[in-house]
Amino acid sequence: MTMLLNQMLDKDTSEDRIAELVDAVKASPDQRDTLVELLPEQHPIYLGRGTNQTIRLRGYILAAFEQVGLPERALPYVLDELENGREAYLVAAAAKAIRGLQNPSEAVVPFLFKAINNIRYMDDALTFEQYKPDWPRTEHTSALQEIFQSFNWLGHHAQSAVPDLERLYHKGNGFSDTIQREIKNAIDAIRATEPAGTRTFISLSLLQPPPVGQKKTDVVPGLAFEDQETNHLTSVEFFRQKPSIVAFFYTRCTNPNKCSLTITKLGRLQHMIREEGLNGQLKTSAITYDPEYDLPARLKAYGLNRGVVFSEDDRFFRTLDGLKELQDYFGLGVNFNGSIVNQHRIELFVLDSEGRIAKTFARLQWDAREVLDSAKALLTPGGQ
Amino acid sequence: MDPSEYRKQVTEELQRQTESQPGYHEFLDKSNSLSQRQEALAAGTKSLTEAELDDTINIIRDQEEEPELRASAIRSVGRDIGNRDETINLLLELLKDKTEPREVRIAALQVLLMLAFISPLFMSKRPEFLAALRSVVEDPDTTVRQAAIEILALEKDEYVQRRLNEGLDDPSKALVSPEKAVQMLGQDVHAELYPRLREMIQNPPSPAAREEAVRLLAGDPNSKELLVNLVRDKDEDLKVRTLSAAALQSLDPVEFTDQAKQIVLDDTEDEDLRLTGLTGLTHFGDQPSLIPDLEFMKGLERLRNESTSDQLKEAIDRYLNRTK
Repeated sequence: MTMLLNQMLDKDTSEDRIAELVDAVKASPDQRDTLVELLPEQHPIYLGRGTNQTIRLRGYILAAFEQVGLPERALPYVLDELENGREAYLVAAAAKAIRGLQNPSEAVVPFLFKAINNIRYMDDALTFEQYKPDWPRTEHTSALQEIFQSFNWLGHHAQSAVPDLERLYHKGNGFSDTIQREIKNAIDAIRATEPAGTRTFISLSLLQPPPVGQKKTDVVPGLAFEDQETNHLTSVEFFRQKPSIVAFFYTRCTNPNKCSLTITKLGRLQHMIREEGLNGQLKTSAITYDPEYDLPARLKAYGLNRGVVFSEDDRFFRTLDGLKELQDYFGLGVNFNGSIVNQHRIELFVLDSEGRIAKTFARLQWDAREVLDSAKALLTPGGQ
Repeated sequence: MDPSEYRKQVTEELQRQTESQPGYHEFLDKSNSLSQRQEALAAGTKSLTEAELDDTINIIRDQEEEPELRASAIRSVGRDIGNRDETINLLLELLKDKTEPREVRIAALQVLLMLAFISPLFMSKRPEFLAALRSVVEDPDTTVRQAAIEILALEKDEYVQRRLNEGLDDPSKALVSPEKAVQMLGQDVHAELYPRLREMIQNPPSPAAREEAVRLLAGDPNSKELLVNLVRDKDEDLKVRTLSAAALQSLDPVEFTDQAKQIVLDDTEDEDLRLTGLTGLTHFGDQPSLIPDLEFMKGLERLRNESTSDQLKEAIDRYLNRTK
């Protein structure tokens, strides 16, 4: 065990070895922080692996928190999967992890409902009994089963969920007998448990990424960019003189809750900027994680198809060099298999007129109004 | 004609047609011949009553019945059973059961696939469906096995990708031919595939697998140089060079434009490849391929005057027209 925990894990560590470590931590829950360290998307263990590999590694790690307890530091990763995940294995793992919370909290109820919507037409048969399981199997679970079991586990803390659960339970809602049983069990369990004297909350500060700290005083590094019209410029040239909003995405992303939605929301944000008469005072941009594939024509089509309006101050970029420096500067939560993105989080930054990071919105869905208010604050004297 | 009279006539006509059809009871009647029973089944135009549906399900279950009849029965009631948990379970069991005849299992699979489009309940049974498919990836019946693997590959299924990769590493574990495995893995751009494809260009398990690998490298920016080398290599197989050119066009239109222009003007090049290059520049090119290039145009004029190929001359005219 000690040897396993002391081992440096990186891209060359075999999946089976990492799974052994997870199993070892399950036997020694006091070592659970080791698992939290493996959650950031940019961790070297995910480098050079296919997306399905990263999903099974990440899912196996997340699911272990049910057994070892879910530390607060791991909660944002779990809520991210519930809110945005479209992979049944990861969503099921996140639902299991919720049951590792020391105190059940009603704050997770909306996340569980979001997960139902995300996964009900994409569910899958899965198991956490074994890493890389063989099939056929006599026993398996599914993401929906795990989600409803988490409602069950929440007990009276999920009182507010009962009306919606009853609507889901109503005949003709399209759920199988297996899922109907899980919903019924959850409703019964919520009703059966006595309300506690105190209510537990999850601190909202936990849902935001840690402040970027030392980066704040650094200006964005000077990197060669190409925009959607094939114009060449440097990052420093663009991210100066005015505050900027910059989102990250890539056109081959298959999760509609991530890149596609981010860019659609960026288009809406641009609309709000125009409506408030702030055009000309703020810049908006999006940078691809996949610069070798996302050529200017692809960037342009992706933006236009999602309501983005391009202008001198509103552009999409690919880096011509220095993607690594960009990753380091923004602390991007992304990893790659060759040049293909294998996983990433949602991330958007507000930069001041010197190109310094003023505010980070990462992992959970950002609110356009909140982003705009953060950018507007930089327009007032002393706002930087 | 008065609309109400017209409606009356249509209703009477439909009634006559229904009455002249063999009844559903003739399908249920075991004393009838197979063809009579199938005809009766095919002729049914109205929705089945619950009792008729139950009778049909009994025939589907009955292993004493002719497999063809059971398969026809599955197909005929497919739409009617999509909202019943237990009948979807029945179809899943038939698909998984290796002792059932192929016709029955394939019919079950076809109806399950149809339900995926029309039945909200089926979407909730998706985990069971995927588990059933995984249970037959080693099925002795090739048709069932291949169909299951293909569906799972389209779903980017982790288990089937793992098994396909294992088969490429160790042919004794292969579920399908290497070219088929590559094609199926290629359904997922995020699969752990590209390093393997690049290796496959050098050491292909079969020529068809090598061609499939070139096709898929169109999604891998790290393979640009390899594709350029394949396009330029005159000793390379012509089909591979053509596929490489197509892949390069998708990956890097600027690089493709450069390579295609060189090929088109090279008199020692294969004519088909020159035509492919010119067609690519004309019709599928990004802007760079159509930017007037005086030197290239001069070369094309020379080629048009010297070439004996009408096809090439026509292709040159088409390109020059596009750049005007």
